[in-house]
Amino acid sequence: MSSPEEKTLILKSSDNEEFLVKESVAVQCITIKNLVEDGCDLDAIPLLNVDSKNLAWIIEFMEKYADSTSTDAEKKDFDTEFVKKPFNDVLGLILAANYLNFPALMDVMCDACANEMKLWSVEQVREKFHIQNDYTEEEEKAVRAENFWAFE
Amino acid sequence: MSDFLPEGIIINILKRLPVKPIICCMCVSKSWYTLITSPEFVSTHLNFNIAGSEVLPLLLLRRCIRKIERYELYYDKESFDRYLRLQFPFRSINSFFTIIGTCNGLLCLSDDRVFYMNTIIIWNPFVKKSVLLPKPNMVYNSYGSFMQSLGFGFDPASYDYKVVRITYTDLDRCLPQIELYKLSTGIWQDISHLSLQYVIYHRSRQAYIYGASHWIARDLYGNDLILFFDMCNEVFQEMILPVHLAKDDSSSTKELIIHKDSLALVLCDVPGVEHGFCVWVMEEYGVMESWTKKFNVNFQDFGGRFMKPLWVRKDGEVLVITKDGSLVSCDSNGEQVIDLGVHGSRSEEYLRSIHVDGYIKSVVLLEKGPDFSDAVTSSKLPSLQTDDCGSDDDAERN
Repeated sequence: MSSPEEKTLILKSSDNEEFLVKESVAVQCITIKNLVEDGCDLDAIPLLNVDSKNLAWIIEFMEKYADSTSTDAEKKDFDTEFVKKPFNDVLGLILAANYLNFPALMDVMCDACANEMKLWSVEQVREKFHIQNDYTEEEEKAVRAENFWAFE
Repeated sequence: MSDFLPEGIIINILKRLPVKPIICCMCVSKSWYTLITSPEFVSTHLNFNIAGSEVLPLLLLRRCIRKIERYELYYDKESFDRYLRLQFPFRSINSFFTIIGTCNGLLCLSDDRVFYMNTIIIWNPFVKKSVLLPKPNMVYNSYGSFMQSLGFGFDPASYDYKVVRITYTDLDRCLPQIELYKLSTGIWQDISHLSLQYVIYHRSRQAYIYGASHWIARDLYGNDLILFFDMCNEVFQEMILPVHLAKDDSSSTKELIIHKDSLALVLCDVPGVEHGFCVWVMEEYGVMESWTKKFNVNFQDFGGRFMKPLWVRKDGEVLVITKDGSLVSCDSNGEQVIDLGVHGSRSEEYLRSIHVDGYIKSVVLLEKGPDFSDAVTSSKLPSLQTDDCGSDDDAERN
């Protein structure tokens, strides 16, 4: 009987690409961990909300973090490079990490997102997050005036 | 067009931002404004900073430098670097405000050092929002001289901030008037029916832990004990002190502080006696037998510089202010003494104004509108009118 650490899972992305991942690595995603513990006996685990692009990145991250030989400093360097992606991809990874319930990836990606946002103007935030401004000019002026010192 | 990111994710991202960008994000859209001013965001942001403070704790340091109050935040780590100097927007009638306590990023200030101005403010320096409490029911000029003690804290059940005020008049020292202010209602409620048989040490500073304000009080027989007010249940309870800590001793002062996660008692010799200070820690909250002496520091080891212990740091060392206004950190044997590079004057006013407290950043009060801005609060503060106020000195003379 094979020991649990050696067991390999097949993860299937929303666009039907299959990825082989060791179970001990994949269970960093609590969604996958729960499926495994509930005795999921499917050949491949379908991840309906994660496309192959994101799944490949997530697996890359999972494998780095599951590697017991990598030091904290190495992980930090890895994170710094890993987050250098177009902002839309950063948001895409956040959504995927949320769906898979992967806390470590969420933290790294949300930190990266917040870091970029720090210096943005209100207009840039709206643009990057695809948000429609529903304030009238007067309303927006009033909100700015409420805490005017933050806009200086 | 609706936002494609779930609210929980937006909160997860925004909680990591510094305060100014968070406030700018209130302008992005109406739904973002609602999100940022929601109790869910405020508490998530607070919890995030509480977790962060376990790794990198912040200390609030307040001093009076050349008659001006200065509020600063320092990193409570070996290098003791300054993190930020806070803008202080209020003016007191007395030399400086009494800091009642800090809680979840809020400071509670009272202008009562000598003259009781009935000015109590709850202030969040990070979002520049504050509220001036209404005049309490018991005021100096209506009842003559008195002593008051204040407590400030948070009730997690109702998610409300409260200030408790206990006033004793000359006439009935053991029937104090007790009032409770709640931020949610904005008014003082008389709760004197919770009669107290104890007299809280005059100007005793609270030690806030486990959701309750603790003070040192004296019973009718002259024994000291710990009196505390639970902010959630709104009741007073007492903790008996072991005999050697309860006895009246005019050669040293007693003060409650927090030692890591426990309540502690600092016994500090008064000038003239000048042996040193010691810190007793109640290792198990509420268990009288668990009081253990943790610190015993002899002033002679420092060339006789009179020192007053102010605060216990995260690593267990004690922050002490020396006679010449320097801040030093010393271990339990008083052996490793490190000058933290923070200096001041040896004037009594400077030494008395020093206040240290733990601090957690938060956006509490951001959800309140423009009426709660510091500028508005500041405009409501009284200007000096000598017939308006009473003082301790009068009490002594009468």
